[in-house]
Parts: sequence; C-alpha cells; structure tokens
Amino acid sequence: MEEIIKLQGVSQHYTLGGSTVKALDEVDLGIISGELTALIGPSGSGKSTLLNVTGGLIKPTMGDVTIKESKMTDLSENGMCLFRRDNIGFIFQSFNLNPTLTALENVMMPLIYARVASHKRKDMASHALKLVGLDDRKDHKPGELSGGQQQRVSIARALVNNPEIVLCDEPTGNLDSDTGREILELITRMNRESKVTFIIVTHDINVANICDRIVTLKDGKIMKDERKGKNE
Amino acid sequence: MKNMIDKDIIKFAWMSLWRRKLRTILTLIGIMIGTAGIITMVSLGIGLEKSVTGEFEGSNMTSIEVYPGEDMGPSGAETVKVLKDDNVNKIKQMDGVKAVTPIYQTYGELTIGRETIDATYTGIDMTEAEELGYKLVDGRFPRSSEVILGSNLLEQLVSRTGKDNFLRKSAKIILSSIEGNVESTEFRTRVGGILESSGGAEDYSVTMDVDKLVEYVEKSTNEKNIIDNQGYSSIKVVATDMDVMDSLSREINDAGYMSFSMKDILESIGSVFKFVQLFLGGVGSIALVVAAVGITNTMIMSTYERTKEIGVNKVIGASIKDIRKQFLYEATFIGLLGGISGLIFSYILSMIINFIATMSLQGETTIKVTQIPIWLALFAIVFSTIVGILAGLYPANKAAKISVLEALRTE
Repeated sequence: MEEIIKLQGVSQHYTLGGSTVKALDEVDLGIISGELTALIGPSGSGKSTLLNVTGGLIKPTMGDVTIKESKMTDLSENGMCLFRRDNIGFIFQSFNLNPTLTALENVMMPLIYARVASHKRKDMASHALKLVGLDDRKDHKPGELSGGQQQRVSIARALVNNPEIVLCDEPTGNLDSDTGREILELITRMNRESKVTFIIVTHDINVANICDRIVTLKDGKIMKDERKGKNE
Repeated sequence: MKNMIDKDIIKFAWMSLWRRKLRTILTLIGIMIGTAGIITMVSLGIGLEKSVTGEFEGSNMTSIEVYPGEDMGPSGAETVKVLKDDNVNKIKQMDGVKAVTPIYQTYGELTIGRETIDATYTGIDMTEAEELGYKLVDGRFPRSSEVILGSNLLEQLVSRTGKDNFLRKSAKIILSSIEGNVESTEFRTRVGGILESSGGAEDYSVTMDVDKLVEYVEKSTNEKNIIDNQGYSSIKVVATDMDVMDSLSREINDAGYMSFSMKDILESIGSVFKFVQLFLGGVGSIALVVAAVGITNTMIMSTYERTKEIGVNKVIGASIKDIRKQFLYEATFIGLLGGISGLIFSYILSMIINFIATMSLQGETTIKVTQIPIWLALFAIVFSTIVGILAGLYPANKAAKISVLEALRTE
C-alpha cells in the first residue's frame, strides 16, 4: 500500500540547561493513506514532537519527512505554511478557535487563506458543520458552545479544505469521557467515510483502541508498532 | 483571485482594529495630532507668504527700477555712474519697453492752507504717466507746475483738517538747501490730481513733472545742471508684458546699470518663505515621528497579545505573507485614518486661527493667516499613510516570524 507519510531517521534534539535532550531519536515511520493511527506513550516520550514534525510545525534536527512525495524538510517556512494549508488539517486539545468569530466564520478561515472564492466558502463551511452535526449552531461564538461542540467546530475547520491528512493532538484531552467518545466516533466516521489519514496523539488507551494502528513511543524511540487484524 | 484574498485580509485587519477600539483610537489620535501639526505649520507659512506677497500684488509686476551700476571689478561692460537723459533714451530703445521715465526724488514740505506736511517729491515724465501705470482717483495728470497727491498724504491732510476736498487747491512746495544754513524756498503750485492707492512708495509722495522739480531744486540750492552732475535718482521702466521681464532685466544689467524688478523681489521673498514652510513643516513632523513610534509600540504589544491567534491562523493555512499583510494593513489604516482626521482637525484649527486673527486685527475683511491648499491636504494624507506603513513594517515582520509551536503553547 502507498505510504502517504514517510519519516526517515528523524531526530529532534533540544538543549535544556546545558544537556541535550533527544525528544526523537532516529525514528523511521511510514503511514499508509487512509490509516487511523494512534501515537501513545508516557509524557516526554516524544509523541507530540513526532506529530509536530510530521505537520511541519517544527523542522527536525536530522532526518527527512516526506508527505505525498514532497520532502517537507526541504521547504522554506512559507512553503511549509502553503503545503500545510493545502494538505494537512489540525485538531488541538484546547480547540484553538477564534473567540470573536462565529462557528461558521471559524470554519471558513482556512478557505479564506486558501483563496477559495467567497461564494463557495459559506456552502463548504456549512457542509463541514453539517457533517459534524452542528448545522444548528452556525452563528454561535465559541463561548456559547460546550467543549464537545467547540471540538466539533475545530474538526469541521480541519476538514473543510478536504485535506488528506489530519493530525490530532489529544483531541479528547479537555472533554469528559462521554463527549470524548462522541468526538472519537466522529473522527472514526470521517476516517471511514472520506478516507482521510488520521494521526492521533493520546495517552488514553480507550482512544488508542479504536484505531487501526497503535504506535508506542518511549524516550524518543518507537517501542511497539501494532496493527489490528490487518496485515502489514 | 489575488484581489479577493486581499479584500478578506483587509477585512481581518479592520476587524482586529475594531475589536480594540479604544487602543486604535488612542494610537490614531497621535497620528491625527502629528498630521494636524504639519498641516497647520505649513499652512501658516503659506498664509504668511500670501499676506506678504499680497502687499505687492497691487504694484506693477512689469516695472523695473534702474539705478546706476556698481563697480564690481573689471568684468562686464562699463558701468553707468550717472543717470542722464541720454541713458533714458537708450533704455527706451530696448526691446520690450513700453514706457520709461527718469525719476528724481527729494524731500521737503507741502503747505496747503494752514497745514504743512512732510513729503517726498517725486518727479516723473508726466507725458508717460498713464503708460507707466499711474492711476488717478480724481483730477488729471498735470502738464505744468501742478502736483499729484499720494493717497497717504491725502489721508494725513483729511485727518488734520477734517476737510476732504483738496483738488485744485493752491499749495506751496517748500524745498530746503541742506548745505550750510538751512534756507527754505517756496514755490506756488496747485493740486492737480489725487493718486489711487497702490500700496507702494507713490502713496507717500507728491508726484510732479520731473523737469519742473529739477528746476525748483536748482533754484533752492543755487546749483546749476544738477542732472548732468548728479544724475536722476533712478529710471523707471515698464515692460510690455511679463514674458520679456527677464530678458529686459538682463539687457539693462548688461548695459552697466543695476536693476530691480518687483518680480525679482517676489521671487526672493518666495524662496525665503519656502524655507520658512520647510522649517515649520519639520517642526510639525516631529509630532508625527513620535506618533509613528506610538504605532510601532502599539502593534508590537498587539503581536504579543495575539501570538496565539497568529499561531492558530498559521496552522490553519495563513502564509507568512498573509500575516505580514494583515499587520501592514492595520498600520496603513491607522496612518490613513489618522491623516484624514488630522486634516479635518487642521481645517477646524485653521478656521479658529483665522477667526482670532480677524478679530484681533479688527479688520472688516476676513484675514487668512492660514491657508490649506489642496496639494497640502493630499500630501498630508499620503504622508501619514506612508508613515503608518513604515511604522508597521517591524511589527508585521515580527508577527510573521512567530513560531507556531511557541504560539500554541501560550495560553
């Protein structure tokens, strides 16, 4: 199967108080298109760093990140911004919605930056909100929505531009377990229906269990890499 | 496509300014005061220039005063030391000359009835008077020994006597010999006409025929041939039109005379006032520079405050250029709106200054101490906008460089 994301010998070093910390230590990882992958591990294991390197939010100290045949590590910062815009969606633990904009406007933001014609934006954003079950909350501002609803808005925002990859950093971390489960169901549904590749960073084993593949990190290295009921 | 996104980013910029109304307005006030400072200062300079040059506006712009040349070393033609009749005739032959008169001036007194006033006697060629631009409000140009009163002299007489009809009244010209014992000689004359006020030296003069005046001076000083010995005071030349002024002035100077024209004087006044305007504008600019620092400061604060928002926008697809543009548009708006409000403010200020000036000078006509020409208004707005953009450059680059990860960490 085609590997949409390929990490080769990726290392990320920090200098902290004079000593070098290896957040990632020569990690090799390939993600197949349409996979739902969980990155788990204790805090400090490097799972968030791995996600950020994959999304081009940071450049690794060493190694290459290749997404859809493009070498991310060779792109300029602006080039990375543009690549991210067209190919990758992000979902955060703390939602990161703009509090001054309505749900619909928040979802429209990526379309504006992607230069989508203004008459199409509203329809696309409304459609995305409908997919996450929030078409009746379009004109509410984040402050008027519950945590689960806010996360749905941010999922709609991540998906509105039809990216092939969505990266989630603890998407249920700020939600109670029931709401968390709903969000996970939404993510799995999106994965099944639209074949979007998801990588979810989590420390919640319940989250990990619904994924196709669980990658366990420790001290910046991949300890375990298991696929459920599927062949390599 | 390109314009469309800019429209959206301009909207973002506008929204983010609107979200922080108070701060935006306070920053804007800085630019407003700076712009108003520049406009008011420069407009004061312009108003001053207009009021000074306006004094001369009534005078004949085509006239040239010719004086004996000064010895300025060996270069050039031979200088003319004494202005005599053949000098007058020579100048009359030059191209572009409409009228020429010798001018002889002396000081004395004029007695009308029981009143005696000090007067400057100016002798001119009366046959050329009309061509030279002399205008009468009353009477006619005299051919004989009659005199014409300047408007200021008439005012003096009116205020002293309370009467106002001096036309055809008999008068006495009193001239004194300055050497030795002061001896006054009186000559009988009559007021032949009243000169229209021109704002020039003629207003303070008694104007009469030059030959007659010279004759009287010779009699009062017991000297002969004073024109051959001392020459005329000056020669007044009137050109056919403004276009020949420069070439005519040059020709006269080249012939060994020294010439002054109202045009030359106005031009040198103009250059002085250009400098005054530049200086006043510079003083006003200081306020604008301070305001520009204010914009930079406010926007740097804003980048700190909006670090997270900028980071999120970068994650969801804003390019570095988009972020930079948004901040630059914000700075542009502050500059532009500050400039416009500064312009409005300075129009009000200008009205107040002109009102106070009119009141304090108790004039019946409105005095325009300040004037804001359209070029100044446009310049001020363009300038303040540019200042805004320049002030926004640093914060915009700073915002664009914000690291996404750092930004997302800030809560």
